Amino acid sequence: MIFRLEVGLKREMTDPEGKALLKRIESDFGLKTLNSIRVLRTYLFDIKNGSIELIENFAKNVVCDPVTEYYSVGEYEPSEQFDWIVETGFLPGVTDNESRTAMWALKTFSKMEFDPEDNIFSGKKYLFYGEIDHNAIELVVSGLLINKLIQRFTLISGTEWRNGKKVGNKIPKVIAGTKPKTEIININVEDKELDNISKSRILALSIEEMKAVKAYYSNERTKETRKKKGFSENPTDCEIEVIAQTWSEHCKHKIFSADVNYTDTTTGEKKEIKSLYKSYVQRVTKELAPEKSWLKSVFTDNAGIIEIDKDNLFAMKVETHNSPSALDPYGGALTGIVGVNRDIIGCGMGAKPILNTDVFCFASPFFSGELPGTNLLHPARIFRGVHRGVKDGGNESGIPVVNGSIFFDNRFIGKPLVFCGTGGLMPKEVNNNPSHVKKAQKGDLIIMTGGRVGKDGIHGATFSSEELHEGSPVTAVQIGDAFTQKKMLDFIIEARDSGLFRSITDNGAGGLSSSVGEMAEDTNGAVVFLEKVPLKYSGLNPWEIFISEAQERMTLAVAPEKMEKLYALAKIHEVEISVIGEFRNTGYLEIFYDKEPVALLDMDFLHNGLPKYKLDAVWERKENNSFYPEEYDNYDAILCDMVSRLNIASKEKWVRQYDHEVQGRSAVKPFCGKDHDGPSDAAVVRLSPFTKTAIVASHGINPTISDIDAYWMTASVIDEALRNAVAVGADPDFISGLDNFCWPDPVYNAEKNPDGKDKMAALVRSNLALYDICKAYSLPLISGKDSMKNDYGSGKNKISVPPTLLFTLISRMDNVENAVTMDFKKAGDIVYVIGETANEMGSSEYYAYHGERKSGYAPRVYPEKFMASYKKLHQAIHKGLIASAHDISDGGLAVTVSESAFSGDLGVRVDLSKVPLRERIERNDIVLFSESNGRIVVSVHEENREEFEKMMEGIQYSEIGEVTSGKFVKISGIKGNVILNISAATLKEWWQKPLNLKLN
Amino acid sequence: MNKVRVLIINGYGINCDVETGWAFKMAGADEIVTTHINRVISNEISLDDFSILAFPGGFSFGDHIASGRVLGVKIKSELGEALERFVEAGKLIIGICNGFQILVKMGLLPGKDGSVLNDQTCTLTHNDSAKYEDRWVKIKPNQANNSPFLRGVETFPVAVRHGEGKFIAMPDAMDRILKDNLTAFQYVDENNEPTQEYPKNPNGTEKAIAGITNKRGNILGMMPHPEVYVQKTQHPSWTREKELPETGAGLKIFVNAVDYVRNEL
Repeated sequence: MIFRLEVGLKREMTDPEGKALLKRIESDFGLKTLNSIRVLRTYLFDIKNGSIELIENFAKNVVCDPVTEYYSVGEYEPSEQFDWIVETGFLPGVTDNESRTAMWALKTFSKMEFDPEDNIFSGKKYLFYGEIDHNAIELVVSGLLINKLIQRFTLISGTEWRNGKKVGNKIPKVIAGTKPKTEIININVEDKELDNISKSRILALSIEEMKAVKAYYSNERTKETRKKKGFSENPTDCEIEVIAQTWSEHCKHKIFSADVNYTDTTTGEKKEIKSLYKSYVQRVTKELAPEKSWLKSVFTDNAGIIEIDKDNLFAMKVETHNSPSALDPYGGALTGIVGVNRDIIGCGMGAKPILNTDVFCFASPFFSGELPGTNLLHPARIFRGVHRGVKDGGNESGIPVVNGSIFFDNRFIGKPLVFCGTGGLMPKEVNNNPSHVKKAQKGDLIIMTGGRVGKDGIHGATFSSEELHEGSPVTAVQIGDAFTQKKMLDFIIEARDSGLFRSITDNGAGGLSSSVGEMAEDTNGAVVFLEKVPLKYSGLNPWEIFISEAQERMTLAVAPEKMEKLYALAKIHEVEISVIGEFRNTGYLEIFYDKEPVALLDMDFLHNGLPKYKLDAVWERKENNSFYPEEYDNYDAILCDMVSRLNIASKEKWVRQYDHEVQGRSAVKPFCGKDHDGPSDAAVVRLSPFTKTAIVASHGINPTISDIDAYWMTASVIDEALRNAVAVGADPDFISGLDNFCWPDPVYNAEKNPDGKDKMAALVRSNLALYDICKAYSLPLISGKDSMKNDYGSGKNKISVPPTLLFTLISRMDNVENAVTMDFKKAGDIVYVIGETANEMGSSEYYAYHGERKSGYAPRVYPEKFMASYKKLHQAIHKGLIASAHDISDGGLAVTVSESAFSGDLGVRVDLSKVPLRERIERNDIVLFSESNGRIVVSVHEENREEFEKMMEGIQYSEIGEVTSGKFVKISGIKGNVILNISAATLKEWWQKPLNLKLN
Repeated sequence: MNKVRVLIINGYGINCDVETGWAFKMAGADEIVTTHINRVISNEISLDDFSILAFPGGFSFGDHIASGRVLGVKIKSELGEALERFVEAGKLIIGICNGFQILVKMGLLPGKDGSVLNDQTCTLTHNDSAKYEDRWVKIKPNQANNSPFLRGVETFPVAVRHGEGKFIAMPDAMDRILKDNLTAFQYVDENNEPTQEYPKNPNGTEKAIAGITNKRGNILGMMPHPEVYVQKTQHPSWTREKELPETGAGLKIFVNAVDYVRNEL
């Protein structure tokens, strides 16, 4: 039977959610005729043996707050004249966290027997009061209230309602399709048909790859083994799917392992590169590793692991979740953050996440043109949805977001970039074994734990080829469930400490096929019985169970004798665990469903049978300097505009909604300064109150430099990450990095991707820089990831993201009490700039402000010089000589001193003629706004002047002014005349306005 | 002198258990046990063996349905008697953030004269801003409240991190809170006066209430997080305020609890 429960705030209560929605409708649609909105929670109960009394009792005792809320069993009849009712709910199969808790509570508190099919479906009902026509309300619904990929809605006008039309009790139940079955795919066919198979099943395998599969199955030895084991000669659907999954760009990094022919057309230089990954990324770390005994596990596990102090290891991983966030920003980002949390939980013997980082690249949320595609969401919507996803994922898991940024460029309109990072701690040893190593043994049981399996995320973000019907579960997007995962985390950490498992890994891309596949490499084989995998709903085919990317699941290898204890622990934590198979040493992954053979996978072919890509890269130099903006006598108004540019403006309103302090370790938080609103350069995270050792986390990102040269883009972002870390007090002798590439498709195709060779060249150049700069900085890479198809549309209408590298840097400080923040501290302090300024305006915020994006020199990096000054600054910081330090990046020197001034509620006087220059510069605007690397603005108390200056001998730095009590930013130009004199408070207002006030 | 044994509850999405343990450790507790609530329900761990019980912050059941509600109802129905014994023995309970929401929603706070387990009479609901926010505010203890938790505590800065922290009481309950001086903390402005002004009052709570106790003073619930201001480097502007003491002001609440149990219980 189906029952409806609605819960709303009592009429005399203000409705904060309704009010916030009203504000958003005003700012997004300019609609000011609505008076108010009330929001109700709705629950549809599908309970076989239910009764009105059961629902009444449940409402009264559990669901409804007696102080603030009322409830109605059945549709609520509002007494006032409302104008519209909108009810929203999920589509079948979409993760519905609210309803899962409600069902749990109903079972727990009613103490009744329930049917396995019984379920609750949550929704929301909005009552609109005021004038709004049918078209406008539909826009509000589709633009703000629902995402049609995962949600449904019912819209009824007040008049219709009063004439008797009601929402009704239709539930989004998943209706099981046909009986689960395994199909045999005939691949003994012509090339054209092979290509069809790949396309129609959305395998994304090229014709060469399909032919390699065909060749493997036609091989006499394969045939013989398959026959012996009772398998068909042709592959099963599951085998094809697993091969496609394993060989996907996402899993096998085909572009990074390709053979590349690189030509530089300017110099005529040619290079043949066998795997960018091996030649640059892996090589730099290999070469640096011998001198870094603290590198514990790099590039082999789910995350990089380093030794942070004598008792603890620190694991770090950064992932991207771009395509899912484009389809459903909330679910995509939430899944991204809880997904990378699992990389940490599943690295080594399991680490506990202690910090999150997040970096987004979006188009402007104020974009007012026409969206270039009908299925694209407006950038404001992507911004809010991604933000909310990361917020809920982090906050509900109790993991603080400590560092991040948002980069805006309208080329991210087709594909936003969503980087989510997590760091975790684990004791160096668990049960007297090193915690960073693990190995499954023959005979260990394969355990799946955590959430259940549905059709979520099958074929990643592409739609399944299955014919959609009303009861079809939604497969394209997933919504994370932080609560289920938090329970699982608590369980896993206890199980680890009690020695109950031997190996662990997470279920991410590829689901069980990839987690079991990876672990089975330890023993060289495994057998899996798919009917033992618990499902969210029935009707999944065996191959779907095996590759589903349903969230919140880990796979464990457990010795049979530990099972009893593991079950007992799982019961306490209310975490589901299931034995789904066993690790063996047969050389095969053997999969069954109800005793029927589903897949026989040769481990060697699966991991080594993939043909190599051959790619061309052609580089044509683009750097030029032909743009000369008008010079001004006064830059007050320009600086106001500069600080309110989206890449510079305050993001406080959004970042405040992340918990950045839970777990009690944060020592330099995202905000610092007198009023706790200054933008910190990096995060300092103290291991515990009982030690002074701290982790420093920072990052660099600046994709638009790739418009000139991805080499200098890469060099710049590495330096930015490093100088951010050094500015707060990180030890430049203890640094490690994570590289996350998000590239437009670099595989040339005359029709679909005509500039593929240029994009590939950018990738080569980025890797060259990654090697050069990391080597010179002695900065090993501990983990990384690439996402290579960040385009929207194809051919002429294609919108590609600029080649983007996010560089995350993990460092350490021995004494957290020496940390420094970016805010000026005291009037009379001397202001210095460390490093040299050059005419490097290419891709600068200042040129972009003038609409210029192609001209100008890209900022260079001189690692030896820069490192020398970083080391001196580090010494000075640890002597306590530095009052403030702030790295110079977007917006240059003028923006940096302004931020330090208004964050410290002070003023500053700067003399541009004293700024150390690398070359002759005669323009004030270049000194004000150049984005040369290697520079940090510091302030020093007068009493420390002598010692500081002595310490800095031999490096490029200069006194440029002083901190003033007048609360004005006053700058005199190269010729000595005052070119800027404006109140710090005014600058702060401009800095805070666009994203804190204008965007709701 | 009594041995001070502290029981800290975790599980079901509670997530401030570790730092709450650190605060009690710094406060000098003799033994701290952090465990899943189900071990207490199953009596594998007995509440009777402890003299301080802490419900830390977090997102029990993901704040689904309403914050603290589901776990509150569960604890009340499965641990009611043991809790009654605990409170009647004068032992101490502290609930922070989600822990406060749990105590209020199971009816333990503010409570009634002569009975421990009551119906819910107050609530913590959505902030007026409709947003979860992490920010530092100032709170002032109620001098007229004699709770052992509050002895010698002065006005201090502290973090709030919640989306549902607006305290609302039914009229009778509010009368009792005011009459019996059950208010523990109020959000205050720069002149240390209670304020309704956002963001100094971060959620629009009635009478600027940030925390309350029961009449006996042995149960304290509060939205702000004193457990993460036990040390100088946790303060958001410690790098500029050179006069800040090494120990964070929040620690006093935990020291008070430990001292009370050790010397007076």
